[in-house]
Amino acid sequence: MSTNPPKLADLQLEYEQAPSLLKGDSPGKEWLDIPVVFRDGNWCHAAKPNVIEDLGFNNPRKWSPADEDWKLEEGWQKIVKDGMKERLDKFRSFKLFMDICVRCGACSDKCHFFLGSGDPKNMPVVRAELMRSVYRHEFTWSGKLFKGLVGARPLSEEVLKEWFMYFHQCTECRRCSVFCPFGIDTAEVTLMGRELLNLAGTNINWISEPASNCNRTGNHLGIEPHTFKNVVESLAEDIEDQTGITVNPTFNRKGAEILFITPSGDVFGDPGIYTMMGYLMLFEHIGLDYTLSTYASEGGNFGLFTSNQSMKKINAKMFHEAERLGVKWILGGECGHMWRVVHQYMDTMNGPADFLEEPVSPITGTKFRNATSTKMVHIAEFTADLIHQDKLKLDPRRNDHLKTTFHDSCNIARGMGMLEEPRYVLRNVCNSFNEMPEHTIREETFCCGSGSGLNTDEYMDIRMRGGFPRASAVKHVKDKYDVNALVAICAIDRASLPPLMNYWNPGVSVYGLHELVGNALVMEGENERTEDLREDEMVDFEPESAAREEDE
Amino acid sequence: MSNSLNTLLAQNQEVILEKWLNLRLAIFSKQKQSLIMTQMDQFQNPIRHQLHEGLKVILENFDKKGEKFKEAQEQICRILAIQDFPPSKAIALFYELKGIVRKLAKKTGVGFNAKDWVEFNSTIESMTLETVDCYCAQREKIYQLKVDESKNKAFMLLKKAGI
Repeated sequence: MSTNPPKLADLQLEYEQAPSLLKGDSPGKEWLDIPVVFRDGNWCHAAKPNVIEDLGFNNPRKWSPADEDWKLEEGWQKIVKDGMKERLDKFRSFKLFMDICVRCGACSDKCHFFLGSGDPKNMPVVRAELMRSVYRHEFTWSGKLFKGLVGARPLSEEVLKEWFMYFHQCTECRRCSVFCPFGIDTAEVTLMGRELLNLAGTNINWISEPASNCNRTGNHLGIEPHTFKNVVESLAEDIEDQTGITVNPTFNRKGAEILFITPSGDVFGDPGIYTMMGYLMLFEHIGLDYTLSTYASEGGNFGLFTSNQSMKKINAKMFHEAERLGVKWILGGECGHMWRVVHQYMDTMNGPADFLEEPVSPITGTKFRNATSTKMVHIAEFTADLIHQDKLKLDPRRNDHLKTTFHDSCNIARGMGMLEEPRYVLRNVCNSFNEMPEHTIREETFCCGSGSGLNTDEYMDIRMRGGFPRASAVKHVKDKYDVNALVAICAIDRASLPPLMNYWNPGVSVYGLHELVGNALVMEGENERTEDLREDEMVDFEPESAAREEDE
Repeated sequence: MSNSLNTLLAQNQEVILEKWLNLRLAIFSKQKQSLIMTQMDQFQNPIRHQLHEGLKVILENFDKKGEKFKEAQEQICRILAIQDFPPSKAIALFYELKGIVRKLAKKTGVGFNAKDWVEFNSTIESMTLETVDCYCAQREKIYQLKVDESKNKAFMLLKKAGI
């Protein structure tokens, strides 16, 4: 063996000729040089020009990812590089994540998109490498000197297209981060990647339009206050028709004790509306002094998927409205990314909320010390406390037609560490709860495959791939325990799991946790319940009157 | 079981299953095989696991077919219908089986009669045509899901508008 170091030309040759799994079907090309192919089903529609103008982003224009010419503006590379430098200086985490990966591979087989497609660029390490390669080229000496030898490459249109493809095949679920020995949060790399894509004027409409709508009307769908009020009242009428109980939600009521904020999907979307009915029944049952807001009419925050400034702006309305209405604290509904924003960013972005009080349950007196800084309590914690203190009259037999399993929403499980409370509630409102296998739940839960603003219909093929690992675990309990109900506490889950189940596991329906609470609540003065909130028959359930007649 | 080739298939299920699964996995691009070929955990590699289970059920029920056979065929088509390769590759699974059985028959040295081959080929062809139906049904389902989702998102607004 020679004692001299190898010559640069030899190294180059070895680098180019060495076999690599990642080169695969493209011999002679390095994996980073294999171009992406856009075909129907694997890309999301570009943001509309008026939406981009509303958000104040660069280069509003009509274009499509499938076009060869993306109509990028002159000097876009400099804009993106400057943006990258600004973020590297501003966010130490981003700088750290660009530098510290040792390519140990612990994350490589943890991403649901990788498991559902096998595409190596969906390995979290490789996805981050798409950006690290540009970082090295622009910001490190080794990259500037040795270029491809140290995995550096310049920012080109092909690289931008690759970013667009793969930073939209990451749902920011953070499963990979659980396994990273350095704690690299790939979600934050994706967040930065999407911010840089925004700077280049390459946004997707399904994320940008809801963010823009939120700026205008307070919710993703762009629903105006009177319609919001009208629809909630309509759900109250449905509750009265089904149960005989009158619920009286109030709107923008000053002096209420609690402001309740939930994702707008619960108000407008099927099956979210049944969860909303469950909330309204619960609040009536315990006599809660609460109000809804037609301004803070959205718990979700598509700003999180857009830019940190956008996230901050959209989030601010929660505190603004709580202050304006003079409530004591905020109760939040079943949502995923809303809780990531609340739990991880809200206090430092828009707090401290000194004008609010430390949340105390008016029914049980429990202090929610975990919410001392944000003054915002998750409804699963709130309800778990009510059940624990025996404040609810529940008949779990009313959910006997459902054999349930529970999907831990990524943002709730990994983003805020809430694992037990929803399970506690579920065990108390139904008799059949069956856990999915160990490595597919809790901190290791598989994403629905449609989070972080990817739940748009033109992306269905990729969503079905990304959701396959979750669907596969559901299939396991469906085959083993006859499970027919997948319960989730996230509005995006409630929107995206039904098509996922419909495709992979027909016969499994998706429910919100508080929908099952609503089914099980025994309310004073109610009609005899023989149907659940979806008007499905409570099979195998014997109403109390029938049981009494039998006894007599 | 009158057809001797079907008997051969029934007696060599394990060998055939392994070969068939490998052929099915090989249609994924080489880049993708780093995971799909090597990871054995059923939840860490659902593509391999569910293809394995599906092909196994098909082999077990090859002669009598029935509901289980149909379900397995559907599950395999679900996996294949959302991947990158063209339909012609996705639906070729029974042709792959024919190739495996032919090689196996040759290896045994037993002379199978022409009638059995004609029957076997005919079975393979009809199963392939059923697979075409099944694959198309999964693609149609993808489009139906898109329509349903659009409606569900604004369910209450459509309901209020009486649509």
